[in-house]
Amino acid sequence: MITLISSDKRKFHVLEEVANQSLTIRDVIEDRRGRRRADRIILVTNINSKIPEKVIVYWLRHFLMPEEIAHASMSHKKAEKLKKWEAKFFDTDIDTLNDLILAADSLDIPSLFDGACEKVSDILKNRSAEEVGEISKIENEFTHEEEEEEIPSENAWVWRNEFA
Amino acid sequence: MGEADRISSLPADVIVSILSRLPLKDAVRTSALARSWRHLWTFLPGLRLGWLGDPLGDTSARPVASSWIERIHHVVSSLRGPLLHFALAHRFSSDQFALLQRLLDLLLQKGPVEKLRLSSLFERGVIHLPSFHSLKELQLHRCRIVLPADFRGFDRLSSLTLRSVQISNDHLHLLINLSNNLTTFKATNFVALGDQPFSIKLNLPLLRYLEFELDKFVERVEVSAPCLEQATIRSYAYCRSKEFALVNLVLVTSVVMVSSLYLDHDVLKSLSFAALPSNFTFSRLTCLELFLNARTTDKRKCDTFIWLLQSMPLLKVLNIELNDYDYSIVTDSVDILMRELLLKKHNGISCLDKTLKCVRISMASLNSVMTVIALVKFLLQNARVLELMKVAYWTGPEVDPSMLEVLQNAKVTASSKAKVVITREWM
Repeated sequence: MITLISSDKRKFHVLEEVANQSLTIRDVIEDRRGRRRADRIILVTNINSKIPEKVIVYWLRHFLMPEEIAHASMSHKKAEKLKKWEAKFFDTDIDTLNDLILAADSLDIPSLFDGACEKVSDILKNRSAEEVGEISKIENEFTHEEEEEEIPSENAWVWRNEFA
Repeated sequence: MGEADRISSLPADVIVSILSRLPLKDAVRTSALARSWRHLWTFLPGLRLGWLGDPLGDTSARPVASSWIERIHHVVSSLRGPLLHFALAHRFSSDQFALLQRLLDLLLQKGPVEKLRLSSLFERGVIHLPSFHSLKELQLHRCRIVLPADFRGFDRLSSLTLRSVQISNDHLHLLINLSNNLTTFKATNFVALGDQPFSIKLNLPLLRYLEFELDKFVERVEVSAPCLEQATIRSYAYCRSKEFALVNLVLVTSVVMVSSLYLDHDVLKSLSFAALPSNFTFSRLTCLELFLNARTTDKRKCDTFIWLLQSMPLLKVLNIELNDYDYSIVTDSVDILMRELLLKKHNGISCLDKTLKCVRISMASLNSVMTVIALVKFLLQNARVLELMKVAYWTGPEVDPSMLEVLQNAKVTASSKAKVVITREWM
């Protein structure tokens, strides 16, 4: 059993085999193998407690369905179920997705990283810059000149409504 | 502004990896979001253009406009980071191949391209493949390829996929045998440039995965691959198999060390083992997949089947897929297929005595279980450590009671643990 501590000081106890899905944690565990119990605590900075909960839920779901199996002999039904589950899992607001991406990036969990990035890109897909700005709350601080002339002329075709 | 912009606080490389999942047009448009986003898209590590994801592409599509190629050219030249992968699936007209070639040459300058995928270029134009020295993965599909005159191989190439590629025999040899680090090679449906059919010699010291399709353009294949672990060998659906007897023998003798082997019907049928030493074995093979054509019944196939079992002392998993879509014909040819099996005594088949644990037979309709019922019986009666015999089907009625009865009667098992399962599976 290893312990993860989030930035707001909450503790999460996870089976080693489950947390192993994070390559970062796997390396840490490997480094500290054979040492005292107290060393089996991993601080997860920059991540508030809401995210470890979600990450652990994701781990548990995937722990029950290891990817090798998913690849080789998993029946279509199970694959479909997992897909549905993931769709639901990632169906959340863009801030949570951001945090998940950060967590997956720092903990090195490739499938979670890919899934969350995929979802964010789905949200941003086929939208105008204004819409994207609104969804992601990105503040546009361009000057009038940049906005009206410079940017539109750089890659003119992307601002036109035609097949790319 | 109460709420914070969280997305911009992500590390730049993470944002770029989100951008790389967007259509190019959307990714470029993010330059208008904010100053910090102005040039982020120019660090895209790769471009995917066209009908990727759709393996066959849109064959009815018209060639792209030349202005489209110019545009992509401009996009590629504006990129500031290294360009690691590039994928393109589009139809081009013959007069556009010069533009396309210019684009490829630009990729070479931009590089270092590690993954390149070109598909469905269709028209008669020839692609002169530039010497991408950092290439690790190359996928070519439906195009004509010529190698540069001073081609010295792709040193780092580990995965090569050729599907419906037109290439000359010489260039094919250069491409494969000068790429010493290949671990994966998949080749289907070659079209020879010139009249000579292919005679292919593969000498690949690190190859681990081989997928090969034999067809009328392939006359002879020799594989020397001491590290091979998995091989899939099938023959092109509409070819008569007798032409391949020699090919298959040579190919199969060189896959002795694999742990997983897939053979389809025609290969199986033409497999000639007369020339092999009597103690020949697949000494590591644990999983065998066979694709059987239920329409043909052939005594030789039965012998080959027994021979395969004999030569695979460690076989654990046997998957048999029955090609029985046209089952009106199948039901007529009831069970002659493997009846032979039951007539003979088979002793000393090591895998049946010691290792074979799982057999899975899948077919379109349960009706065709009649064609393999002798095979099912044979395995149940002879496999002493069998744990699971699974018969799966995916069309037709739910389990027909008479079929169940047939299978129940077949259930005289040699292994006390054997379970017989009949399931209808969703495809």
